[in-house]
Amino acid sequence: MSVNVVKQAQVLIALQAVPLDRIRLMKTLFLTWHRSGRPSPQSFDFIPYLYGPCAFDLYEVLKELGQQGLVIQPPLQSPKWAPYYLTDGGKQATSEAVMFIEQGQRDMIQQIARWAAQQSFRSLLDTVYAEAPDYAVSSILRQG
Amino acid sequence: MTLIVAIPAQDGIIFGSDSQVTDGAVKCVARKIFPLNDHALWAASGELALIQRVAERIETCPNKEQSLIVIRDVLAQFVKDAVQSLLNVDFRTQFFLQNPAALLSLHPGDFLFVEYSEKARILHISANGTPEWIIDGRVKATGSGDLFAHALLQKYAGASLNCERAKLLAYKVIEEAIEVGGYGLGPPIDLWEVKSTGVKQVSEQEIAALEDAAHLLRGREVEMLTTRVTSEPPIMEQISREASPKAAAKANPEPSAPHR
Repeated sequence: MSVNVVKQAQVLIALQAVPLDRIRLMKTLFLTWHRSGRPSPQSFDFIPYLYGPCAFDLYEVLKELGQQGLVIQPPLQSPKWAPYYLTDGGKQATSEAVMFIEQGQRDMIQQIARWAAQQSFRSLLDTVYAEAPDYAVSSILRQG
Repeated sequence: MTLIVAIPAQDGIIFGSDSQVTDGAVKCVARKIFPLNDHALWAASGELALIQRVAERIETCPNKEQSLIVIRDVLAQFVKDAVQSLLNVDFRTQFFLQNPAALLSLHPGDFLFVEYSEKARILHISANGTPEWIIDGRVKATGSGDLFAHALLQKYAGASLNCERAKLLAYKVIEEAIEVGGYGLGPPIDLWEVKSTGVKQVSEQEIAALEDAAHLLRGREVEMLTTRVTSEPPIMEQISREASPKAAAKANPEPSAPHR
């Protein structure tokens, strides 16, 4: 099983729970990894970045999923910030992707995704920074 | 139309540009930043024909691997030669022979060279071939959006940023210039960093991350102003209230004595 398949599966499972923009998706996947005890090797390569934990490879995965027609963003004035939705093909792919992620992990991803969807960016970042201060060291948006 | 921005940092220098090239009524995407050597980059705004002629000369320059300090005047001569060669083939030249300013306006161009070797250096060469160093850690912008960029960057003059933050600043300034400016700027934003380890183009993934960081930063800027106005009294009113003993007593009443 390739690392990329697992990454794609994590994204699809999160979006199955709720459509997310890429910032909320990023923090969802980070909190899942962090609350799972930061297993190694990690699927996404999180680094402490300007807005807290960030995995550049998530952007690549989203691009691939878009090219495969599995996710889509509605046409907004600023499409970069639009949430990603699963397409019909994406829903089908998600039903196949669940076999790559164990049930407990799937539940955690979806629970965090639903929570993240309801947070403002500020409260989302505050939570992430409080839980993982080591990933807030490069942040320009940290309080205090 | 172009915007090129050079931002010196503690550990390198960030060089960024928009990517839109306008040819009459047609616009297309083109790269505007080019490696000069392993530690230096260059870019230009202005007439494409002039930029191409300078590029040809740089390409065949035998000592382009050397520091900008060494080849400063060589590069300036390239610009001067390129302008001269264009004037030689331009039929309009004959009408402006007595007017140098008008002659130069026939083939506009502005060139920036950046390198990092122990410290960041920015070399600016105008179309008349005059080279100047941009000193004291100042940022430099050129192109049709340069005034807009300078307005956004002025508050950071002399600020000591690391490369990561300088990348965010460059990205944000170019993005805002593209969004607001009506002078033919367009995406994608191209960013490069020059460090002691060499030159590197910022990856597509990192550009996306900068996009998100800039989005959050902009949101926080707006939040800082708007939430204070709605949730706190204006600062002068607050100071005045605190200065009034009556108000202070009201705000901080003495604890009442315990009843016997």
